[in-house]
Amino acid sequence: MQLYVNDEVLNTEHTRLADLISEIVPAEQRVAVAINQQVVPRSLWTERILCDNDRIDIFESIAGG
Amino acid sequence: MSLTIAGHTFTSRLFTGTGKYANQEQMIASILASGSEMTTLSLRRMDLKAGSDNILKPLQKLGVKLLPNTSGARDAKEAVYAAQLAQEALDTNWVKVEIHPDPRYLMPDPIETLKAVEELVRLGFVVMPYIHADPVLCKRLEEVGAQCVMPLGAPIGSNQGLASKPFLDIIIEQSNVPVIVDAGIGAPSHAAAALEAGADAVLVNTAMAVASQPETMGKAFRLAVEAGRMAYESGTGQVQQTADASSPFTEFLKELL
Repeated sequence: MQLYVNDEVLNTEHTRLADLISEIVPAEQRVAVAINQQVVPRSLWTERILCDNDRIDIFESIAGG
Repeated sequence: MSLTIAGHTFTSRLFTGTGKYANQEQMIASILASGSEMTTLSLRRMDLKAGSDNILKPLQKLGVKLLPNTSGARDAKEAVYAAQLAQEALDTNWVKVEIHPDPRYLMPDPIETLKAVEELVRLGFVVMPYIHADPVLCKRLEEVGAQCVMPLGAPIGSNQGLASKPFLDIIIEQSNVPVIVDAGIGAPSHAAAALEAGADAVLVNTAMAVASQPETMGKAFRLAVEAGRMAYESGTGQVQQTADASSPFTEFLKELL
């Protein structure tokens, strides 16, 4: 399956969002995830099934005023 | 001395930001010295190759409340999206709404801000809008449920101080929600002046972060904010055009002659 993760093409065997996130984000890091510009709450990551060409955006906190 | 916003009580009336520090150690030392109990953060899409600077851990250790902002949002829709992402990333329903499409002056868009605040309040957020020092807009934001207003003193990062002072005075007089002067505060004296004028708090970032000694500057801001608030509570005297002697020296001179 082909996905776009933060605009980069990614080919993956994972079908569940939780599995994809645990592969590409360090376990201790707190992130927010949106699929096709809809925020997916952490509590739904396990059940969320990925579809071909989904656009996944992963956000992190950074310094800012 | 304390300040309550949406049921959360702050002992310190100095809010801070985490941007522009040369390194994380200086940021933590400066915020700690400032006594600030709430500090802002931004969000960005992760760089999956470069990894992350993990700013959260040291801030959580410090125990300050984290206030995500919507910096980068160009309209209400993007700001709502940013707030929802921040809620996930930081486990908070508090958000500082910043919508400034123009990168040169970073002037907040009042129309999009009002729309965003209305929607975010409806969604259950505690909303702190960054706005121009516009007394009419402040009342409109209050009406739609903003828990405070954050008018600017001067353009973000400009260190110009309270360029908007006459309008801040009107906002402070009229407001039924806390007024937090945000942006433009370049020196502790500016922060003290805002608190003396009756502002409920200030938000300072650049002035602390770019100081050659950020930790000491953090302390200077803490003292200035405390002094400004104390002066406000003590009641400053009236400004007048003529002198009014502090000592009864005229009588003393008469006796000598």
